[in-house]
Amino acid sequence: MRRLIRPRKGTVGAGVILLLQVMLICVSTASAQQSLIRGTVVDASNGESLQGVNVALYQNEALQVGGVSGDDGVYAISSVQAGSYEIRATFIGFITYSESLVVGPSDRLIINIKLELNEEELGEVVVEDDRGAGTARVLAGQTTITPADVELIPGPDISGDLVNYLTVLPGVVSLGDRGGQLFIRGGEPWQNLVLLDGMWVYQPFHILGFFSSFPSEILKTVDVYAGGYTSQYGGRISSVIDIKSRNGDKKSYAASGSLTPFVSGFALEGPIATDLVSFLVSYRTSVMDKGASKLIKDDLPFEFGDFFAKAHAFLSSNSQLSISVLETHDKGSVFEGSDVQDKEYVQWKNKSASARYLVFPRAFPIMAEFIISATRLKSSVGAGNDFSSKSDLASANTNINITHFNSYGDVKWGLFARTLELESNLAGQFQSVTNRKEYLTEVGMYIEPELRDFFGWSLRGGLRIHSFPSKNSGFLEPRFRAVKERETDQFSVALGSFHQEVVGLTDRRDASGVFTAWTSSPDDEKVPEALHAIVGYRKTFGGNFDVSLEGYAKKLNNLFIPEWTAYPRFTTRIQPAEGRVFGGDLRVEYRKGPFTGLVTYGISSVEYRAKQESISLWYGEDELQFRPAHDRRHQVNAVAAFDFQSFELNIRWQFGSGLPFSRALGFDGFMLVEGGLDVFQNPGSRRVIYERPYNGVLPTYHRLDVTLEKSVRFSHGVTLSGLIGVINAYDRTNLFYLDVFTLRRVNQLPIIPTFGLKLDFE
Amino acid sequence: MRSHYFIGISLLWLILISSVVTGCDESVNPILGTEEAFTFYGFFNPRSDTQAVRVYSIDGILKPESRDNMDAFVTSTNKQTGETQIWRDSLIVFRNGTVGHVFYSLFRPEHNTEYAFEATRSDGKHAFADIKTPADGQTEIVDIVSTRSNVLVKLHWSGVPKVLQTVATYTVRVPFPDRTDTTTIRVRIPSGQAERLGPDLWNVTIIPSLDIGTIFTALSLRPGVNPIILDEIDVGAFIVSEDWEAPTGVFDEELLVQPNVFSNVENGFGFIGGAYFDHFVFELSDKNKRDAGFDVE
Repeated sequence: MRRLIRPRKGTVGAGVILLLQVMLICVSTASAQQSLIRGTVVDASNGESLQGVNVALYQNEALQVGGVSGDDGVYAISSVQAGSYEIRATFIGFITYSESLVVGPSDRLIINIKLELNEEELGEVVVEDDRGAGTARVLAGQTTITPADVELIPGPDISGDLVNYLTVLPGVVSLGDRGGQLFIRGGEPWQNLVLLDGMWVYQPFHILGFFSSFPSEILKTVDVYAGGYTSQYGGRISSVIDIKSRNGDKKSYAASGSLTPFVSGFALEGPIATDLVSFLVSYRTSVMDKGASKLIKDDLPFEFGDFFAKAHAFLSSNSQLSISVLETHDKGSVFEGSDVQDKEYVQWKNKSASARYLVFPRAFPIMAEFIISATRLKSSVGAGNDFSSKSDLASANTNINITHFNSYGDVKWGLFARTLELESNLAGQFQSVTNRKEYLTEVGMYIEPELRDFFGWSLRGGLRIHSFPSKNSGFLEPRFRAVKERETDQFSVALGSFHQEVVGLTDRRDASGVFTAWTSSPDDEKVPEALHAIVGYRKTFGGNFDVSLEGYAKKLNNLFIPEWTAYPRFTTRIQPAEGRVFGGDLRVEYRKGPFTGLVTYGISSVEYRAKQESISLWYGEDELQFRPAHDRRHQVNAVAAFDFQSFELNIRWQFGSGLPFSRALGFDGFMLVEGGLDVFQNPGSRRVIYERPYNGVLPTYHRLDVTLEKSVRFSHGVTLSGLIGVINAYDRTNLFYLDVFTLRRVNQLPIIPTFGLKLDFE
Repeated sequence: MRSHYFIGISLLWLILISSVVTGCDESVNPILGTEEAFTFYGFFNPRSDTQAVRVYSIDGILKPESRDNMDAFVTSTNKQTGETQIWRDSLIVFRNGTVGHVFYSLFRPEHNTEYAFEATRSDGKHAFADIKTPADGQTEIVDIVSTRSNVLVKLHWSGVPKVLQTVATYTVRVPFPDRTDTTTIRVRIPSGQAERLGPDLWNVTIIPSLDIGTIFTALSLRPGVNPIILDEIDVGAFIVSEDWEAPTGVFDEELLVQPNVFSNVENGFGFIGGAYFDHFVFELSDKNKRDAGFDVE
C-alpha cells in the first residue's frame, strides 16, 4: 500500500516472515493430504498442450472429483480417496479419453493424457472452465483470448494479429493506425506489463497500429488483465497482457508463407524428436514501401519486423522445458515537422529470450515453474538521422512459481529477482532526467491462497512483497479476487494495490508521443501507485449468447507528467500528478454455427490533477484538474464473422469519441524583462498562448474494415488462402495528430484496399 | 433463430454507422483566437533620448515574424501634459538570424510621470499599458566598514521607488610584467545587495574585498603574484517603477513565460515599465583599498 523507506522490522521484514510461515503451512498441510493425480493433457495429433480440458474421476458412472487443465495443459485432482476409478478427459472436438486406475492411500500419480481429434460431427459437449475464452467471458478484468478469437478481426494482413483483437476490448484505447500505443482503462502504455512465455517485452506493439510482435500463428492463449491482476504479476500499475506461445507440432512439419501490401512473412514448425521435442519459428517484415505506399500514393514512413523462435521439450513424464527468443524492430516518423521543428523519427528494438522449466515432483503435491529471461530494449528519437535522445534498458529476470494442489483450493507462491540496467541520454528532453545510467535490483515474493468454495464464492487472496535494495525501498501489495459462479451467470470482484518503480517518460502533451525513456522513479519522489477495484457480472443465454457488464475504478498516485510551458516545443520538464479513473464495459457476444457477432461498449472518465508549482500562479488553483490526452469517453466496437463454405467474411466497425487536446488562443513572443532589457539585441522567443490545458476535444474516430478470405485445400497438405479487403471502407478522415503550432493535421490511413496470399504446407 | 440475430445485429450496425457517419464533423480548429491584439516588452527610460519597445502581433499561426511593416499605429501620451508621441516601426535582424519589430520614438520621458503606451491595429483592436517613470533619486555613501581583509561600502538611494539590480564596475590598473607602466581595465561584476529601508529609500551594499576574487579570476591573475591597483568603483543601479515586481519575487523564465503572468498590458500581453540606470562613482581610501586586497601606488 505504501512505499517503505528504510524498511524496518515489523514492516516488510514482518511481511516476509509471515509469508514464509504461510508457505510452510501450505507445504505441511498439503503433505498430510490424501492421494493426488496430476498430469498433462495434449492433442495427440500434434503434441500441443490443451487448456480447459475436464479431467474427472468416476466410480460406477458417478462423478467423484475432477479438475480442469490450465496453462501448459496441466491438471491436478487432489483429495482422492483410495479406490478404483475411471479417469475421463473430455474436450470439445476430441474423443473422450477414458482409463481405469486404482488409487492407493497417499499416492502421487502422474497420468499424462493424449486426446484424439474427433473427426466425426461434434457432440454437444459443454466445456466447463473457470476462465473460458471469448470477449464477453470477462472475469474481474481478465479476458482470455485464443488464436481463433484473433482471426475474427479483419486487418490488412492475412494472418491475424493480437493487437487488432486487443483494440476491440472496451477500455483499450489506441491512437489508431500508427503509433503503436495502447492505453488500458485509463493507464498509459508504459504502465502495461507484456509477457511472452514469461519474458518481459517492453515495447511490443509495432509503429503501424495494425501489427504487434504477436501474430496469431505463435499464439496459444493470451490473458489480458485490464486491472485487478493477481499477486503473480507486478511492477506495473495498469494492466497485464500474459501471452503463452504455441509449442510447435511434435508429429509433423508445417510451414506457411504470406504476402500482403503491408507485411510478408513465414512460419515454420515441426518435431525435432517426434512426440518429445518441437520447434516453432515465425518471421515478418514490413513491405509498405513497395506495397501499401504505392496503393495510396502516399509516403508511409514505417519499417518494422519481428522474429520469434521457440523450442519445447517433454523432458520426462513430469517435466517440460521451453526456450523462446523474440526480436523486433521499428522505425518511422510520427511527427511531420513544422517551421520550428524538423521531421522526427523514432526507432526501437527489442531482444528477449527466456527459458522455462516446468515440473511436478513425484514426492510433493506441487507444480513448480522456473523462468529465466533476459530483455534488452533500445529506443531513440531525433530529427532526420540524428537520433539525439536515446534510452536503453536491459534486464534479467528470474522467477520461481510454485502451485500447491489442495482440496480447498490451490495455493500459489513464488520468488522473483530482477536486475535492470537503465541508461538515458535525453538531450534535454526532460530537464529533470537528462543523462543517466543506473542499476537496479528488485527481489520479492508473493503468495496467492485460494478458497474454492466459500458460500458459493471462489476466493483468491494475495500478497506481494518486493523491494529495491539499492533504493532502500519496499512495497506491500495486497490483492483480492472473488468469483461467484452460478449455472448461467457469474459475479466477480477484484481489488488490489500496485506500484511501479521503473517508469516510462513520454511527452504526452499531444497524443502522438511514441518515444519512451525508461528510468527509475526520482529518488526524492514516491513511486507511481495504483489502487484498482473491479465489479463484474456476466450472464449466458442459451449457451451461445453472453452478456457481461463490468465497472471499474482506479486511483493513481505519484504519477509523473510533462510540465506545461508556453514555449513552442515538445520537450519539457516533468511534474507530479495524481489521477483517478472510472469506467464501465458492456460486452455482448453471440456465437453459433458459422456466425460470430460481438459488440463492445466502453465508457470511461480519466482525470489527472497536476501539481506543478506554478499552477497556483497561472490558474489561481493549487491543483489543476484535466482530462489527459488519452481520455476517450466512449468507445464502440462491432465485429461480425461469417464462415460459409470455404469463405470467411470478417467485418469490424469501431468508434471512439474525441480525445482531449490543448487549444491555443494564438501566438506571440516572450522576453524576460528581468533587468535592463535591450530590445535591439535580444531576439526573444516565440510563445503559444494556450487556453486551459486539454479543454478542447478532437473529432470522433470511426472506421469500417472488411475482409473476405477463401481457402482452397490441395493434395499433399497444401492449402492456399487468398484475402481481399478494404481498410477504412468509407474513407473516414480520422485524425492522428494535430500540429497545434502550424494547424497542420496528420490523418490516419485513408481508404486502402488490401489483399494477400498465404500458402500452408502440412 | 440465427437469422433473427443476424438481422438484429446487422440493423444495429446500420443504425450506428449511419448515425455516426452522417453526424460527425471531421474538422477541428485548434486556434480559438483572442481579443488581445499585441504583446509589448520594454521600458520608458527618462535618462535616454530614444525610447524603444518590442511589439509582437498576436497571430493565429506560429510562423517567423513578418518582415513587412506591422499593422500597428503606436503612440505614447504624457498623461499629465497630454503630449503625444508617434512611434515608428523598425525591423531588427538579430544575431541568430531572426527578425523582430522594435518601435521607437525620439523623446526623453520625464521622471516620476505617467504615460500611456498604445498600439492600434487597422481593424481598431488595440492594446495599451500605463507606465509611471521612476523619480530621479539621490545617492550617497552612508558607511564604509573596513577591517583587515574585509571592506563593505553601504550606499543609500533615496527618492526612488525600487532598486531592481545593481552592478559594480571596478576601474583597475594592472602593471606590465616589467612594471614600467600599467594597463587600465574595467571589470563589471553583478555585485551588491539592494534592500528596501523605507518607501523611497534603498540600501545597496558593495563588498570590494569579496569582488576582488572575481576580478582576479576575470583577469586570470594570481593574488600575491600580480598586483591590481584600484582607481575607482562605479556602482550602477537599475531603478524601476513600483509595479516591476515578479509574482514570486524571482524572475524565473519558465514561470513568467505563461501569458498574463507579470503583465501590465490591457487587451494584450507583456510588460512595459519605467526604469533607468543610475550610477554612483567613488574612490576608496588607500587604507580601504589595502584592506580589500588591492594595491596602491
